Amino acid sequence: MTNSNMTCEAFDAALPDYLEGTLDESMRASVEMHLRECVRCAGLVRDLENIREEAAAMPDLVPSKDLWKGIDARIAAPVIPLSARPERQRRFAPAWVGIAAAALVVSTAGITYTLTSRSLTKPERRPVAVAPSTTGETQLPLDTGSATQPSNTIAAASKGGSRSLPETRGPSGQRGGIPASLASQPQNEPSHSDAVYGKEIEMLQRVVSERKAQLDPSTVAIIEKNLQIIDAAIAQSRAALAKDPASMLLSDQLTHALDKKVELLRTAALLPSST
Amino acid sequence: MKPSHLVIAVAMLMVLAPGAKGGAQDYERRTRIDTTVRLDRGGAVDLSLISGKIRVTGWDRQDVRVSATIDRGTLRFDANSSRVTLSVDESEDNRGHGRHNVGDARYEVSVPRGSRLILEAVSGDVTASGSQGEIEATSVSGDVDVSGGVGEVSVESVSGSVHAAQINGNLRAESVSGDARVETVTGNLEATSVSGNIRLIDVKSKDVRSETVSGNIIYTGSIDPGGKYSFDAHSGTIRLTIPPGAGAHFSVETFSGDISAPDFPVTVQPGKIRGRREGRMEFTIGDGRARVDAQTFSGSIVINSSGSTTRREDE
Amino acid sequence: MQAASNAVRVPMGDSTDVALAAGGDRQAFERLYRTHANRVYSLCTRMSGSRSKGEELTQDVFVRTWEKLPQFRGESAFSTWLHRLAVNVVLNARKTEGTQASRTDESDVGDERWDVAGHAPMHIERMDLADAIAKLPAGARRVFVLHDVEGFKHEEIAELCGITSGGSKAQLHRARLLLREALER
Repeated sequence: MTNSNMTCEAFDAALPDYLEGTLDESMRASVEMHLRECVRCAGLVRDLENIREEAAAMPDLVPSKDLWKGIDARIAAPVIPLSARPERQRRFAPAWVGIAAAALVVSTAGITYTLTSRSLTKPERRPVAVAPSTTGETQLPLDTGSATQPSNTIAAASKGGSRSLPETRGPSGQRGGIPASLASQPQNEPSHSDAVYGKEIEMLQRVVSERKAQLDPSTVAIIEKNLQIIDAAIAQSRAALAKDPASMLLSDQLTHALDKKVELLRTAALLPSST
Repeated sequence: MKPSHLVIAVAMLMVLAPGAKGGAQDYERRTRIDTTVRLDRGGAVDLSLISGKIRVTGWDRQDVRVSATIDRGTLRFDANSSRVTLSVDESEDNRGHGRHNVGDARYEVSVPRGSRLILEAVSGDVTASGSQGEIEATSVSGDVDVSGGVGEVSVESVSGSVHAAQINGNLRAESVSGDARVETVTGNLEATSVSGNIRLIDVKSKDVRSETVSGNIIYTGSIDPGGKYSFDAHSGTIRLTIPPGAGAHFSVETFSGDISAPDFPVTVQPGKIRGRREGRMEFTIGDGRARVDAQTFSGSIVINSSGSTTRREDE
Repeated sequence: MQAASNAVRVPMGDSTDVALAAGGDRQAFERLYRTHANRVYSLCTRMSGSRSKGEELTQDVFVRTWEKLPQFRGESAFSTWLHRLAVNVVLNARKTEGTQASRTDESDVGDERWDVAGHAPMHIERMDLADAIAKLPAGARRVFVLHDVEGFKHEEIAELCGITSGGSKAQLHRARLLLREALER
């Protein structure tokens, strides 16, 4: 098929695909014919290809200082990561709850969990691993003894010290710490993310149960009902995910549901007192 | 300013001298506020109550007019040129039982356009219209209804419903068990619920995110080239109605439910084989520049064109 | 736990260190860090256009990596996984800074808007490619770095950045043209 001469304008339009290599036969032939005849376009192609090559060959940059110390300090402090949304301040806490410095501090069984109005932020989306979790999805607990794991070193911002997670895993080579690629049997232990969510959920449930007596009963009922809805969604997603571990959809659904649970518990924890 | 100072002074007197018997007029001031104060452009109006009703209306004067009553308990009022605050006094002499003794309050407040509203109720309804400024409105068990906001607007309730309309700016609408309804919004939109339905109508935004766990999501709005729209319902239907000329890349997934896009010619990406795979569909309509993600665990996903005669009427 | 200092250092592939680090071994993680730090730093710096931001982001990336490491299932090489995680961190960092930050610049292909500085920063004498990249408008810069420097494909870029692959191609082309213009002066 003979192609009539291509204009530079048409060439410009075809250029991106030409560089990607996604033009069809006849278009490519047209382009190449044009390039043989047109200095401007040939120069353009050459320049862009040079840029592409030079970019691919760019050497690694080196930071001006060793960044490890900063990293080490952060991973040593067992703080549950929360992304910040500083412009949103929950007002219920300071005005209504009547607790000094807008902070709720719960000390239960030697664990201090500080929930401040500033920490009321949306948790980052954390994709959750496959393993069906043993962290119980409970309603607003009436008792505080709902420990699902012996979580003795919990994330409190003030606490330094050892990383909390090794408590729930054995030395490397056992339990939930091994990436699944190296584990030969399916994991039944709670995964890392489950542990992070699980701890936070557990702490929030404690805060809520401690406050339950002060909260308006009908609101508590609504919250419990919605927690059940969320728990059902979590259970459904987990069950489906166990059968199809690679599904991003199910993993996303599970993560969203867990996030919603944390968010709802936080809402409950900071509800205004009615007495 | 004078009337408000007087009110505060009287209120303080009453608190400091609980035994003193106030005259009928003094008592009324505590339980009733009727005053007008000047507020600077863009000033803040901060109203909170426990039970009752808050109603705010924007007007063209540069004053805040407050008309408030409370059945039992005391009101606290504070004003300077940049902020007006009205709340229920909780530091009663009977501490610890303060809340029990506080009755219903009713606030009717007119605010200059452009004022920033901060409105909170525990078991009360919150309504605002025409303020043409930022709004942060929350209730625990009441409904929240705002219209005519500009800039950053947020409406939240736990067991009530939230409604926002005519918002020229970014909107965040959240409820737990109530519905979230939004009409005519420009700017980023985030609408979430746990067990409520979400209804987003006449939205012109480049960034929409909507999620519910158990409830339906209805979206009728534009699809801006380069925009990003994401809808997620764990169990519920997602129904999107978009303009016939829209161009977007869709990534639509459901674990158990149907996906249908009856009004659109769906073009598969050239050179890529994408089709149905276990309830997942990726397809492009128009120029494919926007990005639409819709996900459910159980529930159908329907994509209609607003120009189509087969469009279902929303309730 | 301290390795004997005079032991022969056997070059361990990443997988052993990954397993150890996932189990809580911070020294193993430091080794991973040392191996990959410069690559991550380069990506963060180039995508964000700033060295100081790049350093901050690099730390964020590794902190996040530490947290997510047990989820890594070996479905790809560790470096690939790390790379994607780094891109995610950089992109998400941008979202939280400044509620006013408009997202339109990265998606409006026809828009000739320049970067935040407001002026057309490309018309300066003779700069090298790295400088020119740093001066690209944010959206074009991100796509260019991801595609031409880091080697991601358009589909991956689209997924990571929340744009379409058509948009990614358009941004790439725009970036290259802008760079050409800057470099030939």
